This record gives sequence, C-alpha cells and structure tokens, in this order.
Amino acid sequence: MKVEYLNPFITAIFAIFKEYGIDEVKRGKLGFHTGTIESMGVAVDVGITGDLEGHIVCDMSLRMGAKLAELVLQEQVIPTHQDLIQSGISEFVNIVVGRGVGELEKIGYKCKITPPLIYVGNEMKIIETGGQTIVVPIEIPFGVINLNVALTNLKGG
Amino acid sequence: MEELEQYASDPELNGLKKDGSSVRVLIVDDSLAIRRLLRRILESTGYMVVGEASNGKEALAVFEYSAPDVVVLDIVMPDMDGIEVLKLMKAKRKNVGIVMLTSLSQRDTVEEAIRSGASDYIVKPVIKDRIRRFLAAVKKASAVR
Repeated sequence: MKVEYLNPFITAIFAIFKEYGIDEVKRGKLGFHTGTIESMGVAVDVGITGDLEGHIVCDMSLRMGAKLAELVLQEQVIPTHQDLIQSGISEFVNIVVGRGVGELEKIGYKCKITPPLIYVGNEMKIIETGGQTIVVPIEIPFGVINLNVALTNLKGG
Repeated sequence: MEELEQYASDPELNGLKKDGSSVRVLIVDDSLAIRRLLRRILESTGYMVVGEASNGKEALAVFEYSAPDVVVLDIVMPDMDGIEVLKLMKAKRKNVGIVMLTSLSQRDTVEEAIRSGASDYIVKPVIKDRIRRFLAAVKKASAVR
C-alpha cells in the first residue's frame, strides 16, 4: 500500500480536531502490519469504494471514544447512554473519513464511503484487511486514536 | 452553544415564520448523535422538529404524514442514499425545502444534490460558524415555493 493514500486521512483528522477546537494534535510513529486489526476497546470501520478500495479503521479506548462522542454532541453524555456514545464515535470517524475522501479526490482518486460500523470490546480481532495496513497513532490531550488505513488501487499500485 | 440564544432572536436564522408559527423540520440521518445535536440546535432557535428518521425508507414514510416545510437530509445512509431520497421527496412535493448534510466534501455529490433540487448543503461537523450557516440554510429552504 502506498503511503500517499494515508496522508489525506491524516490531513482530515488534524483539520477536524482543529474545527472542534483541539489544536494539540500529534502524529505518532508510522507502523505497518498485515492481517487482522485488534481493537483497544472500540473501533469504527468505514469502507472505501471507487478508484481505491478497502477500509479505514479508527481504533481507541472506550474513554477516548466517550470524549469524541462529547465533541460531536457538544454536550456531556452520561456513561449509561451507550447508544448515544457509540453513535457519536461512529459519526466522528465518518466525518474524518468523508473529509479524507475529499482530500483523496484532490490527488486524483475518486472514492465513496460506506456507513460506519462500530465494534466494541477489548482485544477484539475486528477485520481481516487482506493486505498491508498502515497505522498511525494520532495523539490528542484525551488519548490516542490509531488510524489504520488499508487501501488498494484495483487498477494497480 | 451559547450562540443559540443570539440566533433565536435573528429573523434570518430563527425558526419563526412571518405569521408567528414555527418552520416544520424533518431530520434524516442514520446517526443518533447527529439527530440529537440538530434537534437541539433547531428547537433552541424556534423551529419545530416534526419527525426524525434514520434511513431512507423511514424518511419517506415520516415525510408523508409529518408535512415538513424543510427536510435536513444526510447523503450517506445505509439502505438508500440521500440523493435518491431527495429525488423521491421532490417528486412527491416540489415545494419542500431540502438541506443536504454531508461528510463528503466531493464536488460531484454536492453538484448532483443541487441539480436534483436541494436548496443548500452543509459539510459536517456542524459546529461554530457552521451552526449559523446551517440555520441560515434551513431558514432559506423554508421559503422554497
């Protein structure tokens, strides 16, 4: 997988955090893996179709997820409202991936996204990507999100 | 969202019609979080949320009986996408105002929505200045005839 497929999603997540008023965002060390992605607690998978095909999976702790949900909802959410928290987390990732796909278009790849799927549970194997996945930890003051990008250019590349 | 109080008294943004009644809005988005956020923004500024739907089929059913002035419609949804729902709603009632909500900032999708009769579109997240833009779009869409 080309690193050029990753950058649009990094640009997107930085921009979205900034729009939510979070300026302290750091990018951690790039990693590569193959096979399944294991969740730290909650993971959201958005499918990509079009010129590039595959998955973007954002993986984080439940605590971090709850913070993201509060950003989306712009209000505090009580922990028992799991449906609302999970919906907020999914929506955050959906917004990031949607923006990332817009960035991909700027470099010549036209893609669409599928609605997000959320997985909750520790050390859960959530997806078999079938190829190489690039993972970048994105650090904000509340915690870390692992941004997993597994995309293939079906026309080659 | 302290700004909502200010927007509620702005006739360009608030949900009050000239006769003093409220603009009726249907919210269609598969995200519970987004529906809750938009309901809060709309109800705090004088709009009446007459229904919510989480997918296209449900949206068309609620549309029939809730008689909204404006539909706020997400583009990416599980069964039927927002553009298809938009076309079906416009075929049923040409004068309904439709504001598209999208996480996709792709030109093609937005252009297709406008060509199909959407009054405007808002790119998510709906936050800060975009709340103002969202309210202005809904108010403008309520005047579609």
